[in-house]
Amino acid sequence: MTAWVSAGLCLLGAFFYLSGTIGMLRFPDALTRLHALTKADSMGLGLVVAGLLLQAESFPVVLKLLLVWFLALLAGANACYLLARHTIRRGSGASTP
Amino acid sequence: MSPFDVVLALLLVGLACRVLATRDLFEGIVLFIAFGLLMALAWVRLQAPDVALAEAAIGAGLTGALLLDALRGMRASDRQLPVAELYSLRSLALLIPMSALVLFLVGAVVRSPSANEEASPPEARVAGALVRERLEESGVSQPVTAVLLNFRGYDTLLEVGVLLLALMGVLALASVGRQEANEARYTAGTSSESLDLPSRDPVLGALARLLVPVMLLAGGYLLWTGTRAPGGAFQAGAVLAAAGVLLRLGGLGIPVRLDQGWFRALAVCGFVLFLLVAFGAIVSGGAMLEYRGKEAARWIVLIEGFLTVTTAVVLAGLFVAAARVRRAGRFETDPRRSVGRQEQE
Repeated sequence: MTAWVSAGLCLLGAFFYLSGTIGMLRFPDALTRLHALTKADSMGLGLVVAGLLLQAESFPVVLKLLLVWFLALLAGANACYLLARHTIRRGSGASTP
Repeated sequence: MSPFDVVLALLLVGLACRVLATRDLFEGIVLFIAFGLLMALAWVRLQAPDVALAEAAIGAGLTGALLLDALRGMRASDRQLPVAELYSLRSLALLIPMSALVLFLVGAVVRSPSANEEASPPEARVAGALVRERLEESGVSQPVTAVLLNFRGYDTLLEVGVLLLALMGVLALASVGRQEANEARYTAGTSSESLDLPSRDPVLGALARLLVPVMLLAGGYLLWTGTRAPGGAFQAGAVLAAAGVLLRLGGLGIPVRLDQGWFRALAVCGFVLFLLVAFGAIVSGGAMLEYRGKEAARWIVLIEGFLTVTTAVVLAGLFVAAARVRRAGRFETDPRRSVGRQEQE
């Protein structure tokens, strides 16, 4: 049962990653692409980590997974912010690809 | 070779081509950082976590930060390479030796012993076997650390010397135009207009507050674990340097003067200790850098500790000094440049 729930969560996470990637490829400009990628990836990561948590063998592994989740979330959000800042400062927020 | 490895290898080659072919320097740097991260992943797949750590921290992280920082100091018009430069006769002429090198490397990989394990002669793996055989004598249980700080300690000593030389070069450049900058630096204090610190960004500041403690912990762990598992002075130093760079970008850095004694002392301490140990071995009747067993373990831990400090200070110092070179350059050329702009208008 746990294995099925875990697999389901991971697949759902992969779906979010896929939609984020499609968004990045299809959206017209930098800011909308960042929006698609960051939001979908954060969601996808959360789901994949939740799925893997169910399979964790020991408590240290749980802590490591949570740390990976926290750090990647932090890095993703901040990278998005920095790229958006760069785009806006360059003054081409809504036009350049 | 799993499908994942094939995709990874193809991605690396593709990214390398994009990095070389792009005309926009910002795009080139971002692609280069992505290349470094995938390269680190490739090292993990090749079961070389030590190299992977170094590649991720130095190759992708700090080099990327330095390149982005250098780009900030360039005029917008210089950030695009003209097409003519990219496809000039000179770059086409480079194609021939580069192709020869690629062919040679591909040949070397195909004929390498690991590519066809059974066919390889026993002496092909002699270096690895030798290290494993005599690991006891090195004083540590991690083969990479044993090679870096004992069997081939000489190489590491010179590498630290090269790091120091790089810092000295940048420091020499940073001292140009320092006199104009000097007064401004101290009247500005630590405000956001300070010459020492780039403009404060609240988000980066918050990120630094969250991440720097974790990075200090990770750096300490890498150093501590280096004698038994992947890790060691360079990786630990790189992580600490990255923490320093993040603090500066978040506007929380220590306003350091590059000609301050303590900065220079910290930058050379690892090299000096390494040299002292190297020649101490000669004085006590051995060869240079000769230490074995229990005694070796003590020296290696001591050297690694000091090397961590040196690596961290030199790498962070490169970042700080490079930013200062950029500002000093701007000080000198700004009036002329603005005059030029007015004339154009």
